[in-house]
Amino acid sequence: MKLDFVIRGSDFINAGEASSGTKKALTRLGISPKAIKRAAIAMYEAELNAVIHAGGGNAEVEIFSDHVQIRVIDNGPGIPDVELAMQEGWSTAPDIAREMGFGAGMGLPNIKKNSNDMSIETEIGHGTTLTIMIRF
Amino acid sequence: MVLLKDIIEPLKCTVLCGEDRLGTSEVTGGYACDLLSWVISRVQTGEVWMTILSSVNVVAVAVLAECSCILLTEEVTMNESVLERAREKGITVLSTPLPTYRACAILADLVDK
Repeated sequence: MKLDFVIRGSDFINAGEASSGTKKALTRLGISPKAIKRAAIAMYEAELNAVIHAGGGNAEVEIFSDHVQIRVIDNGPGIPDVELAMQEGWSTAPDIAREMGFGAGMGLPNIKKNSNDMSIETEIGHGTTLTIMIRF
Repeated sequence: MVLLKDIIEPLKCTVLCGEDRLGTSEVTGGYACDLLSWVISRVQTGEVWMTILSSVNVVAVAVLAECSCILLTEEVTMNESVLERAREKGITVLSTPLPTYRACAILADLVDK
């Protein structure tokens, strides 16, 4: 099963809708609640990164019998130092996002923690593709 | 088993939305934090999430993290458009004048007894 979502940049009102839609689809398929929660958390963080940092993007979700692959693709500024971005507490979120409770510097670490595999392809000035795999 | 309806009076709560779930939603504990990423990664299914944040993003986090409810502490309220979203998503929102520390202490007493 394949699902596609458009993520709009700086749209904090609808932020989380792609993750919520994926959660619903996984629930309908009878996937284990623990795996669904991990997928929902990881995807929410990826979705919010696209909303906050990248001017939006797209999410492509592919559900297989034993895992789900989530790919969030943006055309944003790219991540200059992935190693630094992976550190808990490191954040470049603007004040407007921080005032809403974002910017804890936990996004990428949370994704790593909740997924079985994650990879980041990023190019400065061109964008970032984050691929997450969660086993059921 | 503690249900949402059991915490309303001790925590001096006003029910802002989701009244229909008070008698069915189980409360497994509580979590107090105002950083969304911290909450989504640590709050456990069925816990009462105590926060002073009231933007629409709080609803998304509560849905994905499967909280039993959002409990706004310190007299914080939520505007109608956010409550509408919470109704849509099936999330109960409560509000209390109690400080977060007090709310945690009372809730812990109820859940642990």
